[in-house]
Amino acid sequence: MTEPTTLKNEPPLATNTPASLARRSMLLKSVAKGGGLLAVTAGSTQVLATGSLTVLTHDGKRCSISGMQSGAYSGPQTTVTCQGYSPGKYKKIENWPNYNWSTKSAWNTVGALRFNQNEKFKVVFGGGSDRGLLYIMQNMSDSDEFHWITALLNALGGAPANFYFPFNGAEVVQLYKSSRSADALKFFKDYMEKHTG
Amino acid sequence: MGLNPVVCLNWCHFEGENASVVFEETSGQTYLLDPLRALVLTFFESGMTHAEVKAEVVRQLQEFAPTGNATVLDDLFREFAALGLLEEPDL
Repeated sequence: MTEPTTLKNEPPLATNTPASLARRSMLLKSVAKGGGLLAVTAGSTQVLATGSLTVLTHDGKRCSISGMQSGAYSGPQTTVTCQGYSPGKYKKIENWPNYNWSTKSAWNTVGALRFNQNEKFKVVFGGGSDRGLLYIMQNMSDSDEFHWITALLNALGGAPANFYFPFNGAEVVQLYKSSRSADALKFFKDYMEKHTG
Repeated sequence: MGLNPVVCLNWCHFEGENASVVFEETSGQTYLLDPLRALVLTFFESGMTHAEVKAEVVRQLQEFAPTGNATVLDDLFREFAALGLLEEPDL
């Protein structure tokens, strides 16, 4: 194979730098030479078996918001299951990630925000309840916020690495704010709350 | 609707091979793409919606040659959505 023309430390094609525009132009010419839109039916997206694991939900679907809406995965067989703890685990502050037994507090960070268990949900997530995170976990089990906090705590290290919880804390908050928050919430409730604490 | 918000792409392009390899960090998957698929995914990566990508692909390809039926791109969008790379298209 020839040497790659793009390295990881070069600007991504999503930007409009001269280098990015030149590479996009290269792709365009290749597409035109290759039959234009006919390439859609002639080609396919191949998954390369490079030794990375395929992470699936417990019922065999790809572990992502969109993937869980697809059929069962049928690719290479090196798979693990993504999962998280159920909300019950986090009703006890002692089970929160980074809990300090001396101060009896759990301080965590999402992006630039450092917060503890008493921080208001809407401060951490940018919307929703005015109640504190631990209060919600202990008193508001019927709320959506109850599950969003569970997802966040799983993402922040409440779920161990071998659970392959598929998002980090910033991504959970981003999902809350995104147009797919309803799908994300369903994903977390249906697939990621499987382990009791 | 566009790129799945948790997708993070890292690219390598092999010009002589007319192929691109992209590593997606969230899933840990690595994909081999032909130039059209690579081009479409880069448009989504720049923030375009499904409709905008379809219009842009058709517009840019028409500068080179008649492009054929743009509805085939819907199949490509579904292919990417099934892989978790795109949000489900409104088709």
